[in-house]
Amino acid sequence: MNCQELRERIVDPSSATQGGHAPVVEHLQACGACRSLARDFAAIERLLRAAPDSEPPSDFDQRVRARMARETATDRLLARLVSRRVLGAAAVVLGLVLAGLLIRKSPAPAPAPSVPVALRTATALAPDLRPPDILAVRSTPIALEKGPLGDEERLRILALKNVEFLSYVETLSRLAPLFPAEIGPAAPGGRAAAPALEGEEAQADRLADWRAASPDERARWMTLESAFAARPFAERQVLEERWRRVRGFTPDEKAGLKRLAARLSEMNEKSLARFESEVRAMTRLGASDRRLRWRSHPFVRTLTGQEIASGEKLLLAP
Amino acid sequence: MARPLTGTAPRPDTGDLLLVAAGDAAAERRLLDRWRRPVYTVLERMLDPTPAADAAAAVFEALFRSAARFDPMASFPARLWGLVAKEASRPPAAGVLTIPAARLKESAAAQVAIQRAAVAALPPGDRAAFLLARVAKQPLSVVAEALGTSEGEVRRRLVRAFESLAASLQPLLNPQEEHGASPESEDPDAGRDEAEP
Repeated sequence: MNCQELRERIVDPSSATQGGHAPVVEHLQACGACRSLARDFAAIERLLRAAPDSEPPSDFDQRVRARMARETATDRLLARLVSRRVLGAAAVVLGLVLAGLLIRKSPAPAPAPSVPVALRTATALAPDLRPPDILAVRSTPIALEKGPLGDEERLRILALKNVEFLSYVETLSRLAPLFPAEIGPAAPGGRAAAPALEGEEAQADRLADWRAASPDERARWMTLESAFAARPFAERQVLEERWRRVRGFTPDEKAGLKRLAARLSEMNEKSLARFESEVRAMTRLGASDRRLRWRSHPFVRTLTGQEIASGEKLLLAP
Repeated sequence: MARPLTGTAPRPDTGDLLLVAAGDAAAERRLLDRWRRPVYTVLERMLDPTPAADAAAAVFEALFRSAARFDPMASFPARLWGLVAKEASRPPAAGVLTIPAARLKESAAAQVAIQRAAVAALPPGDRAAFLLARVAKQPLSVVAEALGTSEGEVRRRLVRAFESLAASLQPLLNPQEEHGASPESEDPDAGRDEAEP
């Protein structure tokens, strides 16, 4: 038995009964390298056995359903695009091609005397023919631009919260330990500042977002809005205040915070409370000490670079 | 887990997958109940919890979407673990994990992190064979079918995986050499709760 054969025997427990143990023992007695490796293999097995099965996050089934639903929505969108815009555009292109062909064929006068009378009449009439009516082709339904919004619909849309904020509400809620206490969970109701009035630009953005959204996206927007509106007033104020702190973050930083929030949601209540009190203690330090303490925290050291950087930015925000 | 029934009745997993193809949501839930934990456990040995959950969700999405094409005579475990192997073969996020030796000794979280990094650093084929055979505890015949290769090749991949892990996990396997602690004092479960703040 050579080294490779021995190693294949020890990684395959089912082969233990094949050929007996004698050759294995004999090889191990003679080969120090294999003896050392066999000890390491056994230690790896012990490490594996010691680690218990992991519990998936509580929202795991929802994630699966969301993936299934997301694809279905994409399929539906694709189908709608194919049925309306693409077919409409294809009709226009086809019309233009046909028109081009007709125009190229039509103005060919044929002065040859040998041509039959009937045919000569036809060619003589050709220059007087009306060009093909392209507008008639174009009048097929092409929904490239939606019609203007009515006043009532416009007001209803402007009353909605920003969809990015609504999608981020759960994250903001989970990130409570990283926000200052005055806008954290212990904030007394009504102490948070009243939300600033939106500028015209923000309103225009809101309307543009609505117009760009598919029916499914609009339905999701409305669902998120309803879920947000169902929260207590004080909590809504706190969440909006938190959003003001993070809305200027880059998309990568926001994604980092989202993942960090997911990691926090995996903690049990006791660990989360301890983490929150430790972060609160950090906020009493100066910026450089705060950064050092954050980066050296045992939980933070298990995070990815983006998660650490995003959390740090939030923690250091004035 | 998938105990064969008598007669020609399909195994529960196969039967449920056929029901999923027919749009039965309850069958979908039953499959998730039976398999979400083992699938997640395997992927969590190479990925952080959040990406592992996403990868496991991708496995079930692929399983359910392809349910209509599943051959009832085929092996369900091979199908499921084949999808897991596909996810496990994707390149993990690049990055170098550096953990101070002293910290490795005292932190269960650091030990988990270094094990995860070591598994993630294996070549894709070796990694998939290792995870399926050693973490999912599947017989080599199932692993070979899931990976579309022979049992001999699976054995060779396992040897390579163990050799790589033995090299990269030396500080964990033989802590007395570097830190003066005996292996017996190194209980990977000890302080697991302390890993989290």
